[in-house]
Amino acid sequence: MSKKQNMAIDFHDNMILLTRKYLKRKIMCPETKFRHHVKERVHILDLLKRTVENGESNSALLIGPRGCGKTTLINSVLKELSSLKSFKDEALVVNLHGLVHTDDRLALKDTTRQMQLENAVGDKVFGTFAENLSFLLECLKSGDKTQSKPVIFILDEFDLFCAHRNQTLLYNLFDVAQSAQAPICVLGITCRLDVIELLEKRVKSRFSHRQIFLFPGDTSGSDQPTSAFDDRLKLFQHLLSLPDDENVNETDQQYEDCKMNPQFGARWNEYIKSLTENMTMVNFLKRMYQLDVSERSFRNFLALVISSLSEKHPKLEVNDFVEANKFFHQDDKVLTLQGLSVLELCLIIAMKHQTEIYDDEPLNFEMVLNRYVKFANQNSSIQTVQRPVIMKAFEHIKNLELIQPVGGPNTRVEKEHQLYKFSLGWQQIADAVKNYPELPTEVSQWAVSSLQ
Amino acid sequence: MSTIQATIPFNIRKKSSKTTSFYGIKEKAVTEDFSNAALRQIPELKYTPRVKKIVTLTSSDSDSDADVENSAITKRSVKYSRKRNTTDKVSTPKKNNTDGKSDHSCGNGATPPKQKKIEESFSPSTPSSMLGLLDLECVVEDVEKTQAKRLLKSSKFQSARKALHSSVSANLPGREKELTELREFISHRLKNFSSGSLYVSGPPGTGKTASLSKIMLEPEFKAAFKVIYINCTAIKSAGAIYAKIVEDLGLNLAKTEKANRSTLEKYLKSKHQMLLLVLDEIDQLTTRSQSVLYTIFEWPSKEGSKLVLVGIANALDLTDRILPRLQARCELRPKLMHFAPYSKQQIVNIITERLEEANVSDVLNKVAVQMLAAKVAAISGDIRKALDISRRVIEIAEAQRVAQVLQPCNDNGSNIAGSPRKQQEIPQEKSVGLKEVVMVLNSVYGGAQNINNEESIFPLQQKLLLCSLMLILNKGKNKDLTIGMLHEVYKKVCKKRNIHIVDMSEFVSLCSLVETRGVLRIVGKKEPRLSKVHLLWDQEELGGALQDKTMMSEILNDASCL
Repeated sequence: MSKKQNMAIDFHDNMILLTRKYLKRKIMCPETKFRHHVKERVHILDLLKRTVENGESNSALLIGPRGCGKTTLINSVLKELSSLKSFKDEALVVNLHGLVHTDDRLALKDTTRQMQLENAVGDKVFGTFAENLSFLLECLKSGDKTQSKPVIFILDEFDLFCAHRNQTLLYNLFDVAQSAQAPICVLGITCRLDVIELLEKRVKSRFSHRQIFLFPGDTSGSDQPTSAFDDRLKLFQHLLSLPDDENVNETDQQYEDCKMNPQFGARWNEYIKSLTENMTMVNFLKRMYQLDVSERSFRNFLALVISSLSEKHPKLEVNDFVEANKFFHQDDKVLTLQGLSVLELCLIIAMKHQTEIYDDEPLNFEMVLNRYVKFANQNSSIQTVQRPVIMKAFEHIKNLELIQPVGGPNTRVEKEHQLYKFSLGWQQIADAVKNYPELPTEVSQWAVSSLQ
Repeated sequence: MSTIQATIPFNIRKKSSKTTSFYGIKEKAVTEDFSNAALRQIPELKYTPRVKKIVTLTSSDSDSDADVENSAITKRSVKYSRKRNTTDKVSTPKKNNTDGKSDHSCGNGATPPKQKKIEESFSPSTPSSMLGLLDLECVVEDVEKTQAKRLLKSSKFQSARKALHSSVSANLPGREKELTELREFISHRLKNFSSGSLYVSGPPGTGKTASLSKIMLEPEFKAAFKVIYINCTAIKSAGAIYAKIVEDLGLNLAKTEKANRSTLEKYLKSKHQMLLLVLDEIDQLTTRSQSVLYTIFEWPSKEGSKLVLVGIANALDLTDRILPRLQARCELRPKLMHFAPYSKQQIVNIITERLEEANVSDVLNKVAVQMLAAKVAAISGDIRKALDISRRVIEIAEAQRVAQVLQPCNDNGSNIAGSPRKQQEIPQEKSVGLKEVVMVLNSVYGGAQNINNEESIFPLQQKLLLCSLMLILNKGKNKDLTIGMLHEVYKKVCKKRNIHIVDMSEFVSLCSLVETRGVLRIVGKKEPRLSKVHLLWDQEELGGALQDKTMMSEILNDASCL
């Protein structure tokens, strides 16, 4: 850190709270600005434009891993289109989501509601599935290219629609898109790369085989070609910056209640910019980027960092980032082990020895008990406890799912003889033993030696 | 140019365009307010996470999921006045009220005729009662379109795209034989006033529905028959088909399936006009006992039923596989007709003909069309695919303002990693494999003199698939093979011959296409790659069907591919 950043910024208390609020909103709320994938975006924009303006029917699938901005892309396209007069007056957008509309009946009801057809009154839809379907198809089929409103169907989680019975909805939507009826555009959004294989052959034949792939780390949208990591740095700077003199008027309406002082914003931004030139910070971000390229998890991480701002802590240090990153890479199993009692930890160690010696064979209570009792008898400092107490500890371990029953839990075997698989790594146990507060030395020695 | 459909007129619940009170979705600007959450620790605001929020268009009332929640929470429906409905312009998605004549005069300010205002205690009639009063065409909201804009925009490319859209065209090149056969079948029944049944099969995209639509539109049949066309995918369950037919015949609808069935049977016994019943995607009607299909296929054999039944589906052996009892009685046995996949030449004809109709035949050059057709014909012979790809080619050409489609370019409009087939729409440079593919395909389907009279010829890629399968069964040790393993061997076979290799997802669809011919049985459809493949045919029989002894024997003697 150079001296320059240590200049006394008068961190007004209220300012910091406002900053926190503003930045959190900026990070957590999805923007409809889309930065990359220019080619793909133009492709989709053209499709929708042609549907609305020329009455062509189309279908396309947008495919990419989770968190790479598929929905953001669609939103930004729709936002851009909604400024067109023709689109605003003519197009209907129907949003369906595979997790919400789990079968064709629900999807159809919602489609009817969103298209506001005659059998929908308010947001109630009347009639049975068959009636609704025939009514909807009737409406779509009686339309033609010149006179009907174009309808845009957006199917999120498209692969879940493939699991519906007979894929009726998909068949009918694609069929309308293939024949000279009302102009519709079917956009599917999915993260399965092999989604085409899930379609039945008659549905697949009607789909127009436009697959648009989105992969993260594509920086074709920026002005000068940069590496993927530089783009991440830019994003980092963009997400943490406040409005300053230049763009104080560009702030959206959603930030209206956070009126920022532009001088303060300018100083803050300068500080953030210096962070991106700081070597330790850059290396740290690089390491993070190598683990996870998705933008969404990065935003979550930044939100966590921002939460640490307060009146007492008005500045973001590199250390804050490192601390926040620890939250993301904790081994929760080790933490679970550290919360066990000494007896339970002893049982875990006994299980570890058992699986080590017998090479991942399944174990039952009797074996573990045997091993533990041997150990307890050799060391006078370890109290011998009753068998039921040990059983209780064993059951507690089972309930934490540190051991998994083999062959189903409901087989008719007594508790003591039910076989389990041990599901912890040696390293995790070693870590837990090392960090356990006030563990008797015998136990820690026993954990290291495996020949008992 | 339009497809056949029975237009059902619907009664329209009229709505004044000036309604001020309306039961509906409560419009609410969704803003997350974190302000108090940060300052105070009392979580007064219940933050409900939403699944997703698409940008709500400013014009339409937002239909986001949040509103659904809202309306669920507020049990009382909230009165509010819509901004949109106060204008006189017809811009609501409500169908405007065209007074029974369905005239789409949609000038500015043409308000639909007003009806009584809807009172607040308006209890909506159920569609069953609304559908019962069939007296109006049901039309999606009309929109005023200025023709001038149209004319300005119509370029060569656009008319080409329009011509290549997969809507049915007036004439069907490459299906003349099937059309004459269909005509003969139907007119023969028409002369004798007798009944008959026909089962049409073929892979998707081979023009089955289009041919039948064309037949149904012909005036001689239209006059003589009462034509009913039903697509069985639009039906909720197999039993509901009766109700649908009853409805289309204009008889009284009964409550139960049984009653509807007896209604129909009574109708068939009585004196009536000849009936042509076309059931598309008939395999949707399969039930456990197959009672529905049996019933339908038995109708033509009844006394004086005067019914011509046509069933359409993909599977070649549907009638043998699921309707074995039909074989027992001669008069029940349906006549079979198979639509083979389109050959390359047929695809070329179709594309060029469509372009010529639109007077834009110079948009695509000959070589491009040939190559495209060869590719599609080798894989599935699906005309929809060919038309889609050609439309894509035109789009890309339009984007580059290049009328010459076959020019090397690096901007392919989309990154199609999943289908190498399309990457070669516009060959980057003359790759070796490509030339080979065209050569091999030309030797197999060598244009016009080779359009053979064999119905049962397989496309090239399907042949390769079957040969790989036979190779594994003959030489391999593992008899229990999956699609994934078969694809591995197939890739090696193709590589040896310098033939373009289709990727996994395309391969899975190839397998399912071969399955419809009854050659294979694929078990376990959950995970396509892991589903098992069983050969149903005899090896010799398959060898006879493949008709390409040299290639087959070459592959079968090449154990190094395993």
